[in-house]
Formats: sequence, C-alpha cells, structure tokens
Amino acid sequence: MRPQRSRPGMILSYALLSVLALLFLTPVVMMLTGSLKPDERVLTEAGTLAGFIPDQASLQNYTDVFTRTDFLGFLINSLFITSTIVICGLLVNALAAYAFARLHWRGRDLLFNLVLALMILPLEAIAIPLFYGVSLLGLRDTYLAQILPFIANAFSIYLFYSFFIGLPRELEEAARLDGASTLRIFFSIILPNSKPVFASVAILSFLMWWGAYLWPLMVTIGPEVRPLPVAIAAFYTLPPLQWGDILAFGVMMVAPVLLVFLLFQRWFVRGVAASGIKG
Amino acid sequence: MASIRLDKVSKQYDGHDAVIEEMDLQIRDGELLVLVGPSGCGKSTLLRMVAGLEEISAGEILIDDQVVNQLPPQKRNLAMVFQNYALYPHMTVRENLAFPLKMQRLSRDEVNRRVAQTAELLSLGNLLDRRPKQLSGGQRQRVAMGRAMVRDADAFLMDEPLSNLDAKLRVEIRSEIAALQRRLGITTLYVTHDQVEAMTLGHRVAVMRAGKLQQVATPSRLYEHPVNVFVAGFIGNPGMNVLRVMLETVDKALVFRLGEHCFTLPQSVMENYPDLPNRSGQMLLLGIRPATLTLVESGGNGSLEATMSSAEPLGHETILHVNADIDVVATDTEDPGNTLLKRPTLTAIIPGHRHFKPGETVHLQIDCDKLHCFDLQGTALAHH
Repeated sequence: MRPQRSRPGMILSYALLSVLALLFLTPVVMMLTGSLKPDERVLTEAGTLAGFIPDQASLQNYTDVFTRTDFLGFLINSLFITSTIVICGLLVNALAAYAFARLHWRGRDLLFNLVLALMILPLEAIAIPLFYGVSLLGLRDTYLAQILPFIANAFSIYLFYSFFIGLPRELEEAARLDGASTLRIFFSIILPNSKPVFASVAILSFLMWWGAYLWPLMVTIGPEVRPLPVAIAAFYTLPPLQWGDILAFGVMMVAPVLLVFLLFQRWFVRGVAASGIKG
Repeated sequence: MASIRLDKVSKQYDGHDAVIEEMDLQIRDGELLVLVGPSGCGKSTLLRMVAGLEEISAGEILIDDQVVNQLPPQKRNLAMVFQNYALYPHMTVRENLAFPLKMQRLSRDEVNRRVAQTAELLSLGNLLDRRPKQLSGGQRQRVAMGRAMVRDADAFLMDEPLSNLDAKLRVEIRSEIAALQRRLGITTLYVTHDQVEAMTLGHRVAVMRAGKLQQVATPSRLYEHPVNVFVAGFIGNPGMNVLRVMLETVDKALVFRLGEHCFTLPQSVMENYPDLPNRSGQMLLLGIRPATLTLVESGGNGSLEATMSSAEPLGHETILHVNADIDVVATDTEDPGNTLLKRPTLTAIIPGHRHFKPGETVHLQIDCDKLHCFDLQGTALAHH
C-alpha cells in the first residue's frame, strides 16, 4: 500500500505543481491569446494580465499568415516528412529491436552495444559529415535528405528493445510450434501486443522531428521542401515584422503536435511505463 | 501418432556443467510418458529440446525414427502446452484455436470445422468469443489443450500444465487430460515436478535428477521397486523412510541392527534379496514406506519404539512424525549412506483420524515383506 501523505505535504506538493503548470502554460496561453489580438497590442500587453485576455478576438492574424506565406505548403511538407520518418521508423526500429531482443546471431551483443552508444551522439556532432554525404548523393533540397538519415534511430530501437525483452517468450515459442515464421510471429503476435510502445515511439519521434530545425535548415534551399520550423524562422525575417502573425503561425504549428498527443495519450503513458523511461 | 526417441542426448551451456547428460529415452507410439524430478533437474530443458526450442549439444532426437536435430520447431509437427498456457492475449479463444490451422493454410471452412469440433470436445463452445484474460485458470488451460489438439500433431509436449491451478482444479483437469489422451491415443511427453501427477497420469514415468535419468518404469514398478534411494524418496507421498542399518549374523540368523533396535529377518526378506547373506557385517540402507508401518500396542520382532513428534490428521488417514534412536538418511544426496538427517524423524501413515500428544511413546511395526534394501551408495540390491 502507498503511504498516505500528510495534509500539509499534500498542500505543498499541489502548490509546487500548480506553479510548475503555470510556468509551462503561460507561454502557450500567451501565444494563443496574442495570435487573436491586433498586432499593435501584442507587445504592449505582453507581461500584463491583459496579455492573457483575448478581448476583441479576431482571426485576422491567421488569414494574414496564409496570405503572406505558403503555410499550407510548409504544413504539408512537415506532415509528410515527419509522418514518413515516424511510420518507416516504427517498422525499421521495431524489427531491429526484435532482432536484438529475440533472435540469436553472431555479433548481436556487440552491435547492440554500438547502437546504444549512438544514443549519446547528438545530431550536431554528425551534421557536417552527414551533410557532406547528402551533398555527394545529390540529395540536397529534397524530402529524401530530410527523411532517410533519421528513419533508423538508436533511442527508438532501445525503447522497442526494452519492451520486447519483457514480453513472455512462451508466446513466440507457442507461435513457432504452431507453424509461424519469424516475420509472421513479429507481425501477428509481437506487434499486436506492443501497441503501447509503438504509441510511445511514434509520439516521441513525431515530437522530435516535427520541431527539427538545424538539419532542414542545412539541407533545404528553396521553400518547396521546407518544413514549418525553418519556415517560421524565415517568417520572422519577412518584413513587416508582425508579432500577431508570428504567434498565429506558432499556434498552427503546435496544434498537430497536441492533436497527436491527445490521440495517443493513453497508450503513450502505458508505453512509457512499460519501457522504463524515467524523467 | 509417433514415437519419440532420445539417443545419448546431452545439453551443455558454454562454460557450464552439462544440464542433461547422455540421456536415452523412448516414448512409445500412443504412450503418455511423464518426466518427473525436482526443480532444476533439466526436465523442462529436455522437453524444449524435443520441441526444437533448445539446441542439443550432443546425441540425436528421433521422431518416428527420423532424426530431427536440425529441424526447426514448426517442422516437427509437435504441439506443446506451456506452464503459463501462452495463449495469444489479443486473440479470442476462436482465433487462438484457429491460429495453428491458419499457419497450415487450411481453407476457412476446414478451420471453422476443426475449431468447432475441438471446442465441442473441450466444452469451449460458449467461450469462443472471449479473450484469454476473460477466462478462469481452468478455462485457459482447456484452451491451451485445444490449441494443441486442433491441428493433428504427431505428439503432445506438456510443460507443467497444471502447476498454475489450485489443488481442486488440478485434480479435475488431471483426469480430463488422462481421459483425452486415452481417447485420442496421442503420444504425450508430460513434464511435472509433482510425483502425484506423475503417478496418476503416466503409463510410464521417467524420474530425473541433476540431468540424469534415474529410472523409467510403470508407476507401480517405480513405487514397488525403486532402483535407488533417490527414486524411493521422490516417489510416494510422503517419501520412503531410508535408515542406515547394520546387517549382522546372530545365531545363524540374519538381523538388522538399528541403533538399539534389533530384529531378525524373516525368510521372506531373504527370498526377496537372495544376496543379503553375503553382506553380513556390512552397513546397508533400509527403505520403509510410511504406509507399511503400523501402530501396535507393544514391541516385538520388527517393531520400533519411538516418541511422537507431530501428527497430521487428514481425515481418512493420519501422518505421524516420530523420533527413534535410528540413523535416518537423506535420499536426495550423492552420498546417502553418509548423509544423516539433522532431525531424524520417521514418517508413518496410519488409517483414520487420530490425535496424539507430542512426546507420547508409540510402537511401530515394520512390515518385513515390504522392506527395500539398498547399498550405502543408495543403489537397490538385486531383487528376486
């Protein structure tokens, strides 16, 4: 049984959590209310209570975004790039993790340790050689350059591995005796019983690549294949500087992320618990 | 149906002692052979090797005289029931039963027909649309049996299939398994650590200890003629009492000396063990089944005086644990003749519901016709 907290302890923890929630929510609420206000009031009311009150709300800033930029194009680019990375990543990383967790082959442990070691390598450290490689292949300013290098991901493999290793081995053995091949076992037995970890990996990858900035900035030249994070940065520099428009752009950029999280929240929490990710 | 033969099969993990050592075993066509032994003796490993889930280090496994060492599990046509049932949690009972048939690429009509047939046989008809988590332990067990039965496998492998059930259900399902096996006549290798299961289910029982086969025989043969003290101690509940005794010749008669007790061997014992006279002057191990000890009023030849340690009334019988001035040895060691129990209690079973006071003096009569004689290494003496 969990020990019951004392009343003062409860009040203190709720107070601390409320302050934290306030700190996290303030910028988001300000972005939302600011996006609904006339441009001249955005900065003057920032930091005051009025900044949080969307009186005289209008969608003018949102229509401005669509008229001043090709927002829809950038949104489609971002959706396409991120979804492709996520969907292909789920398949590739889950299969790799399954091979590490369950199949016996020479060099498995060594390779798995190398994959784990890759987790500590930030993109910034390999960005230049990667850029060189992409340029050599003639892939600059393409979707492929933004997708291909990031499908296989060490952290995703680790998350899948942690989950698969905890699944009862007998399920696979029973399926093998029932006549199923390894791939059949993966798709018919492992996959349907691993929804939580698939949801976790999908959300984490989506968040990671939806907000990716450095790499798309390096490999894109024109606006045709540019994703939202690079587009919003360019929007900053597009005269005249309209803060209301920028905030509206931000709101529309964040909305899909929130939607994905809300859709998969239940599985995400279970998956995070099952794969042992701790904050 | 098929026969399964193990020919000098060994299993050794890298850098460790062998877990299975040169095992020879034959499971006859249509036979239910129970592999029994204490936890960690290698019986499940052996089963998994037959299934193809573990590689074998040496020897051959033959199914219907065909060597299957290199065949993957799915090609051996064996069905297995796992200890935790291993039902696919995301599938309904119907889908669980149909899975092996779908793997055989049977037509949908044939799959449905066989699933219905199996469900009827195991009374699963009203559970077909439930998922495993909506079933009780006994129902899950039946579904696991059904999944094994549905696909016309050559043999069944069962890995402690009853160990997750409560005692009452275990007895019920045990008789169901026995009846099903009789009806289907399918070759079955059944692994358990429970000697009661082994004795009640097996046509023959193979007793294992530390990776080695001790004895393969019918349940009654195992009980009546154990080849060593390990089998004697393992089979039977409670196990056989094994005492260290001195065989002496007194006035041309052979006597066993147990501490202060001494009793003359009747002619029947000499007939059972013709080699005994040649062992006069040697220490031996004497096996006495608890059920062959009877409570008597006063001592005579073949009776032991003992003090009551504890009694366990079970209703139809009472198990007595008594202390006597005798050397009781451990049956599960490599050197039983020299491994005395620290608390040397003797166990007896007497009929009826009886109560005793701790410390009370009782006399137990040994049935000399039912004695078992072993040498000091624990091997049974030649029996007539």
